[in-house]
Amino acid sequence: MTTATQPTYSEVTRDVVASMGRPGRGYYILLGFVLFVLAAGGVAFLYQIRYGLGMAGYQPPVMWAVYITDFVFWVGIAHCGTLISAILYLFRSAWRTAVYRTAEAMTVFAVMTAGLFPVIHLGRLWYAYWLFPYPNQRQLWPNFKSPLLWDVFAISTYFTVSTVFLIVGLVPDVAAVRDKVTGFRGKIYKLFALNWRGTDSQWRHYTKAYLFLAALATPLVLSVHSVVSWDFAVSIVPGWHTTIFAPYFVAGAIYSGLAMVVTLLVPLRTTLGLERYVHEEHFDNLGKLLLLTGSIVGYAYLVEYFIAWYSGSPYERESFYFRAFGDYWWATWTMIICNAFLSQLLWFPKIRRSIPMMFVLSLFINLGMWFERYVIIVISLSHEYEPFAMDHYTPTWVDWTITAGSFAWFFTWFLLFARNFPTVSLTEVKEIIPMQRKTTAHK
Amino acid sequence: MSGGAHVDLRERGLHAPLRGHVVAGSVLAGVGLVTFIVGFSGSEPARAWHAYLINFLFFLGLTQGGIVFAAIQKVTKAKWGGAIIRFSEAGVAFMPVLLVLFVILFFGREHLFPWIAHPTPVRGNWLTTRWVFARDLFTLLVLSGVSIAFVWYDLKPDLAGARSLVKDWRGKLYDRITNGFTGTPEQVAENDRRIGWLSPLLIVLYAYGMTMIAFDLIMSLAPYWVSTLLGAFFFMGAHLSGLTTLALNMVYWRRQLGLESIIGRQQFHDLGKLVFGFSVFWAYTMFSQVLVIWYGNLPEETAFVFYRLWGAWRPVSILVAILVFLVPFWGLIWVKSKTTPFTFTLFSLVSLAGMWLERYLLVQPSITENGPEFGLTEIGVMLGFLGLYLLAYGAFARAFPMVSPRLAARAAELQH
Repeated sequence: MTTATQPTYSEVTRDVVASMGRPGRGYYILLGFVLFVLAAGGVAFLYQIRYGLGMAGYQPPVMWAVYITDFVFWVGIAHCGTLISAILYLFRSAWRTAVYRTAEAMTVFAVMTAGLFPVIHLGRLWYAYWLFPYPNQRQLWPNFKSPLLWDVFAISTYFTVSTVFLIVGLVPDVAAVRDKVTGFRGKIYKLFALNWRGTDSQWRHYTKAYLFLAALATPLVLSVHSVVSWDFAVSIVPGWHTTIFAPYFVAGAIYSGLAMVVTLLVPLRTTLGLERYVHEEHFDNLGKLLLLTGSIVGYAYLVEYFIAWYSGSPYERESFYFRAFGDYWWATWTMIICNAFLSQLLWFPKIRRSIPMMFVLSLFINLGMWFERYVIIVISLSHEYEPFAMDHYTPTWVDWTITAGSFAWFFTWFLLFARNFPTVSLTEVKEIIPMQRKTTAHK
Repeated sequence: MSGGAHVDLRERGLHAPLRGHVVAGSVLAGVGLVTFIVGFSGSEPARAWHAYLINFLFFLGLTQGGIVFAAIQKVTKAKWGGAIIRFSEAGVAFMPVLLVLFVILFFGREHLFPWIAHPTPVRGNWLTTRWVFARDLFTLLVLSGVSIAFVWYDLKPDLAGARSLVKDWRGKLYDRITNGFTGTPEQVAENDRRIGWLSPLLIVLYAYGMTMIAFDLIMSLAPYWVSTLLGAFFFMGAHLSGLTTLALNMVYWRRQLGLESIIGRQQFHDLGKLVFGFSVFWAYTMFSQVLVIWYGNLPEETAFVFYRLWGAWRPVSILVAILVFLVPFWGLIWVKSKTTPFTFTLFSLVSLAGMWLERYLLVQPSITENGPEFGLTEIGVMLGFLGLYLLAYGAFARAFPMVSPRLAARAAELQH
């Protein structure tokens, strides 16, 4: 941490605990608003259950549309958490300490949001449990060759590991807060603190466990979104069937996740008074990671277009031509401009270090990444091999309301978390503050 | 690090023992030249050219992939690599040689590229001799140019520091490169600023340039086969071979220059982790391609894979997977095997050999009707490339300090 005024250990505890104090009216207004939107999403969902998936605009050939877009979008958002908490930990990046808690919490809530969509997308959602692979008396046995089933495994593993990661990381912090709070919240903290006393042997086990978790979670960053990409790539739909999909999806996922972290951190740091802990340097570093992943995404766009042409296949060529200049040209250009071009602005340190600029940019990137999935899923399906089977798809109000509801669901969890748990890691921020010598200790 | 040790490092870095490089390099280059001439003027000229292309790709990869390691160190502000960064930068001396070797490839084009005899009109002029060689030569020129500029600026402060210790042609060369650099804070800041934009530029150009090379010199050999990931697969694999080459150089120079005090457990452990990580990543990119192609089951794509996974080429494919992934994975997963020079060298060598075989497997089955052939031609041409590499590397070590006291001191800070 390189701010002019280094916080002391006690100030860290004070500031972070203060961020969990009684929130202002703005917080409740915001919470009320997201709960309202969530309720609207719930109503739309009930409507869809009553009248069927046709309400979502589904008709052949586009049978995967906005819900799958949302699903991939939210799984993608979830990727940044593990990157920051596991991979950057293994790379010994000190700056991660101030932002990783937010990223981890975001990860868990994003997976919880993503997990809704396979169910929302089901025509008969009361059979959702058929997805789980257990032998049963009806001789149903899920198809293990289907990437959709791999999704179930990949995402439930990811959810488990990232939740464990979040909870383990919280232990010493919650213990520090536990001693300052009474009542119902005190009981919750007592539960989460797992009887933490901060003894040497507890710390030894804790650091060991954290290291192992980080090492085990690292492959998950690659595997989860690779499996999601194979939902598409293993088919032969033009625009889906391409080998670059796995790493390209992973890079895109981290890209969108980082953008969401920026989107969340900017209001969080001001409303919770954490400016001293989350400052320009963190946005600078997040900006560099955004630049890296955004450039990988840009590379993938270019290679995809080039190979579509190079392959000489009329279907591939037509599919990509249709993307850029067909009915949905606006979606494609939103994706290309927001993801490939706007990220290049991050070459300039001035932009990376300007918090308002980063905030605006992160919103555009979120938008662009949502449209990327829309482009891949909807445009490719609407324009496959046979002109006879092509059709146009338009999202309905049900789609949009449920999508808005998913954002509300995500923010509800996040708001509750930010209010009740330390969003900046007390322990790890303290670790990177240099030890104060007795002669220079002040106040 | 004390001042005395600093001076001592400067001295040692300037007096790298080079007899091994000169003798081995000359002998191997000679052997390679003879084998190649005998090969392409004999009864199987195509075979000699095939070996030539494979080795060109392999050595281009390990050279450029190694220089990119140095650039990544700068971009990520890593300190631990300071003691070994020069060993990867030294490969830059081989880039001009590779340019010449690429021009020579032009004369073997008829034996290599099927699209010369059987053009693919659907691609317009993209795959024509003139276009392919022009753009690849341009790509290599740009890559070499930026690599040289990058190493140039990273050498500058060290050469200024060592100027008083050298004379004759080295003195003149150092004067030319330092160009009045004396180490004032403004000059250092200016130099850092240059490195600050050259290193990310080099990384970007590396990705795009090597993709172009992979599409033109590997993918086009199998006329209707496409894989969008091939470019990234090629340059990430090349980076892995750059890392293992660096590992071998690190072990070699550590002993030759007596650098045991500055190249310690930290460097072995960290480089070992990178080799381990990129081996896993290699397997991931390989699997990502095979799975998608196998599942999609489109004949124009599967031919490439099935030809390698079944029949005569199968043992080679299995061997590649064992050498590049399985052995380094289980070998280097342990801390001890990364930090012990003997085991680390061993697994790096296995990985490097596997990488050579992988490049062989990418190229050879596309352009020959025969099964795997591995005889005097292949070995001889490979040794010839190795010889040229050693000579170029030795020339760099003769001219420039092989260790940077400035960067080594930064790495040493970490150990406290």
